[in-house]
Formats: sequence, C-alpha cells, structure tokens
Amino acid sequence: MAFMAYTNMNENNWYKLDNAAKIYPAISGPGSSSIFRVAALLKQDVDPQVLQEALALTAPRFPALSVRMKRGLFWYYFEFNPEIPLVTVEKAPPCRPIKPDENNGYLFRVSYYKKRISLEIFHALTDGTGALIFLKTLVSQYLTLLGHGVFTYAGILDCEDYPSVSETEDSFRKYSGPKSNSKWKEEKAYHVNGTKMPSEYLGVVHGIIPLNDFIKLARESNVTLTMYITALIIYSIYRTQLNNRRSYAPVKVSVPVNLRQYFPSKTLRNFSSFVNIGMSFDGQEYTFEQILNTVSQAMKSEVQPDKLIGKISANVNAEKNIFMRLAPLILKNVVLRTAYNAYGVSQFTCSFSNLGAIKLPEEMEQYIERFEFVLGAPAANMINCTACSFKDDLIITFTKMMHETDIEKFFFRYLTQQGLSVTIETNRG
Amino acid sequence: MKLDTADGVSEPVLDKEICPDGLAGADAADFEDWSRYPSPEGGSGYRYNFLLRLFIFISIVVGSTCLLINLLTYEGNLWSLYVIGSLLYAWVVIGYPLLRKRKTGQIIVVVAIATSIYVFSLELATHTKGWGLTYVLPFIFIGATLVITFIILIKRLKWREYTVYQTIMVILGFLPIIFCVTGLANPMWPSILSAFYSLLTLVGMFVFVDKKYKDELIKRFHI
Repeated sequence: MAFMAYTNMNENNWYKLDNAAKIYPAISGPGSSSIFRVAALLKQDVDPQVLQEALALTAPRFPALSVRMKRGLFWYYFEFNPEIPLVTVEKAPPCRPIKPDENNGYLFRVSYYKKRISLEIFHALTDGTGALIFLKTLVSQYLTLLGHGVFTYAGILDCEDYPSVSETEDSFRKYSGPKSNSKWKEEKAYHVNGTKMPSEYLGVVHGIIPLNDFIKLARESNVTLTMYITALIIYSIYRTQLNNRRSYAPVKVSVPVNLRQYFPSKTLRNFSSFVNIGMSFDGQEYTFEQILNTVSQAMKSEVQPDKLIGKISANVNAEKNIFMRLAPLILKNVVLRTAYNAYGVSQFTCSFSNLGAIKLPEEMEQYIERFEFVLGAPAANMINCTACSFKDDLIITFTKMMHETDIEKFFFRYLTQQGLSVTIETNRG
Repeated sequence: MKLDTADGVSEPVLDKEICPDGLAGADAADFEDWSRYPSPEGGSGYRYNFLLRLFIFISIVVGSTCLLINLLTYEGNLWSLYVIGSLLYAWVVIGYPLLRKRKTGQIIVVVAIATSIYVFSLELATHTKGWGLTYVLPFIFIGATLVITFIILIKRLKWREYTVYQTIMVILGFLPIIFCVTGLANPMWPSILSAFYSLLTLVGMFVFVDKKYKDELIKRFHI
C-alpha cells in the first residue's frame, strides 16, 4: 500500500504499540474489554451498503487503525491489515469484546442501528480523540456518498490525502523526558457496591442536557464542566453509596487528560494521560460545594504540563527498562496485569472522560442529531461516566455493570434541582 | 427505566422513545420503531463443558487418591509424584491443543518443551541416568525442528507463521551441548547431532530466506 511509505510504519508494515497501548492487551478480558464507543446519531436511517462503501474509503486513510494485532516473543505489535473492514448491524449491548476473527482481524467495529453509526474501538489503537476523527471522517464520507456534498474541516480528514508521519507517531516517546515524576502507589479508592450484571451486558444511561444552561451553572461556581461533573459524580456516590457515612477509602474519579492540549501532537494514536481526583469522607456531612471546591483545587494542581510530562516519562522509562524489554510476553502480561490491579484499577472508584465539544462543518451539522460517547465499564469498578457536547446539547452517559440505578438517578435529579432540563435515554427497560 | 417520584423531587424527563413505561396512555405501537438500542440477541455465550469438568475431576481423584495411599503406606518412595507428574504432562500434551484453537507450530514447541521437562524430571526422580538427557531430549529437538521445516516447505504461503517457532526450536537444539559440557549426557553423539542439525537449519535459514524472513524475525523478536 502506497500510504505505508508516508507513515511511521516500519518497512515491513508494522508498528510497535505505543506506551499507553501496551497495558490493554494484558488487562482485557470478558469483564473488562477496554473497548469504547463513539457514535453519531443521524436524522435519517442508516443505509448499510453506503456505510460499507464509506468505511472502505475511510479505513486506508487511517493506517494507525487499519491494523491487526500480533504476538511477538517480547511484545505485541500491530501489522498492516490488507482486508476490508466490515459494517455490521448492532445486535448486542455496546462495547463487548472484539474477537480477532470477527471483523477480518480489525480491532474496531463499525455498526449501525436505525439512525446511529457506531464506532467501537480497542483502546490499544487510539484514544477518544483519534476515534472521534475516524468517526467524523467516516460519517462525512457516508454523507458525501449520499450526495449531501463534500465536507472539509480540521477534524475531518481528506481521504484523498496521504497520511502524514505526525498522524502515526508515538507521541509518548517524543514528548517524554528522562525525568520521571510519578507516584505509582496511591491510596486505594472506594469501590461501588451493587448487584453485578452478567459480563456480556452493559447498562447505558444517557442524560441530554442543554449545554448553555450547564455552562452557566458551572460558571456560577467558577469551575469548568469537567470539574463540575467530576464533583457531582463523587457527591452522588457519597450520598447514595456511603449515605454520609465515613469511608476509609477515598472516592476517586479517574479523569483522562488529552495531552494534545499541552503538546503540539497530531497523532491519531493514544496520547492521553489521567489524573485521579478524589476526596476522603470522615463521617461529617459534606455539601456539594465543599466537594466541588476540593475537586477544582485538585484538578488545577494536578493538570499541569510538567506533572503530566513526569507521569508519561515514568511510564516510558519503565517500558525502556532492559529487564522489562527482555521478559517474554507471557511474563510481561502477568506483570502488567498484576501492576494494573495493584496500582491501576484499585486506585479509582470510576472514570469520567470528557470528549469536549464536537465540531462539524456547518453544512454537515444539519444531518446529525447528536454524538454519543460510551465507555465499557471495567468489572472491578462497575460504573463509568462520559460527556460530550454537540451543538446545543451536552450528553452525559453512565455505563455500568450493576443493576442498581441510584447513582445516576441521584446525579440527574441533582441537576434538575438546579433548574436544568434533563432527558434520559437508556438501553434498559 | 424505573424512576420513582414518591419523594416529590423534580424528575428528569424520561424520553418516550426509550422508556415507554413513562408515557401512560400513548399508543404502544408507536414505540416499536423508537427504541434506540436493540434487544440483545442470544444467551450469555457461557457453555457448560461437562466432559472437561469430568476429566478434571477424574484427574484430581486419581492424583489425590494416589498421594493419600502413598503417604499412608510410605516406605521411602514417593511414587505418587510420578502419577501426578504424568497427569500434568497429559493435560499439557492433550489439553493444550484441544482446549483452545492453537497454531500447529505453537503446539509442536509446547509439546517438545513439556516432554523435555517431563523426561528430565523422570530421569532425576528415578535416578536412572543415561537415557533422558542423553538420547530423548536431543531427538525430541531434532524431530520438532524437522517437523516445522517440513511444514514450512509444504505450506510455503504460511511460512511467516512458523518463523518464530522454527527459531525457538533451533535455539533449543543447541541446549543438549550444555549437557555434554557439564557431563550430564554420555555418550555425547546425540547432543552433538542435535546441535549440528540446529546449526545446519540455521545456515539453511540464512542461505535460502530473503529479506522478508529477516524482517519477520525483527518484527516478532523486537524488544
């Protein structure tokens, strides 16, 4: 394929996994698929044949995503996939694991259901930003094939262009330095209790809220949307799970940080870090405002470029360690899984990922009702939350592995009590 | 979705498209096309494998019974360990290829390594020096390398899949030389034959293969 010469793919058409990607094959399983979904809800039913055609045109433009994963003796690697990815009709709950033989070896799944086009993708390939660019380009191709015009915008790639080297670079290696600054061991976090669903199900609850009203609400407290939602998640867990009781473990929310905001990276592969923001409860009664204050202070202090560089440098330096490099893959998987359980998933109560405002060319907006962002819930944490906004709507989505609805019910009720109008959609009757 | 209103707080609006329960009196037929998520198809995908469980149970019963009898009638010989070791070996050799879909090269390498460990342990445990390390191991390595070479020659299009296994077997083929040097293997000719065969295979690999093969090795062995 001609594109290979213009990318970071090796001469033999393969990539090393980036630093963040290395953990996902080791920790993924039926209960924790490491799959997330970005979806576009159109105003008309999806035509599967046109979508298939659009996908065949779009995928080659994204060499970093058009790969299959192979096992080496020491590391996994991505190999160029010459097959055509397939479009399927959505039949199962979101974010179920992608089997290697399911989509000609691709690590993403493009599906449709009525008006929705969904892209579900293995996190080892890319993060939310990369996936969103792929989805927007796919939807743009789809609309173009339907005769609605040609759409160009910074967030939509031109499928006629060659991919640039910067799109496929491993930005972790590029921007990491020798100085590590990361505490691996943090205090273990409180974990939500609930009745577990079977691992093949995933409960999804969308709350659709007028964006401007929410921004106004957050501005009244001088905080960002991410801070407000993070604080409200903690407050909801505190009120519904702890019932104002003392908790020896803090309630912590893991918030991914898009590093492209701080470094001039154009990569379509993973380039995000995270901060764990939380609060301990000592039995006294806490108000939402107190929690919001703690959260905003912690975020301002943690989300700093130098701290983020220190964090990614620690991970990249660990990966470069000669003992780590020479350990056989089978052993690495055991080590990474153990480390993730000890220092990863146990250190936060749930994740909250904000994809931000999704922009489209004005002439394309009229065909799209909204976007959705869904995280697969890891079995250990039971519940996750995401947010994204499109035009006038903010869509907050809870995904969960438990039957109880108390947390999200409290969350959305609190917002209605603040005067916001909330529309709920869910995949559970 | 169930959202009670008993406590009188203002409620989020239930979207009629998803939650028909929230719209008493509406035309039920209208909701059919409104659902934004499909009903999940099929069952849990979980299968109860009776045969597998039966064999696991039989293995545990046989192993533990032998161990118990051995301990109750102990006269200085832990013979039950042979039984338990043989059961474990049988599980690797039979279970590894059958329980999951495996590549042929993978199976050959795993069976060769498992057999080597089993033979070495048996030789140590029975204090019967002179057969396992001296004869069995070198010929296992020669045999496994030979089989993979034949597969590569037959399935030329799939040679990439076998490069890593061929390389592992070639490396293992040199192992018996250590037994010679340390005096564990006597006579030495089977070990020397194994190493010589590995060397020839290695030379053959370099003579016959092209750049693609070398790239394949770099890819699969990158650190």
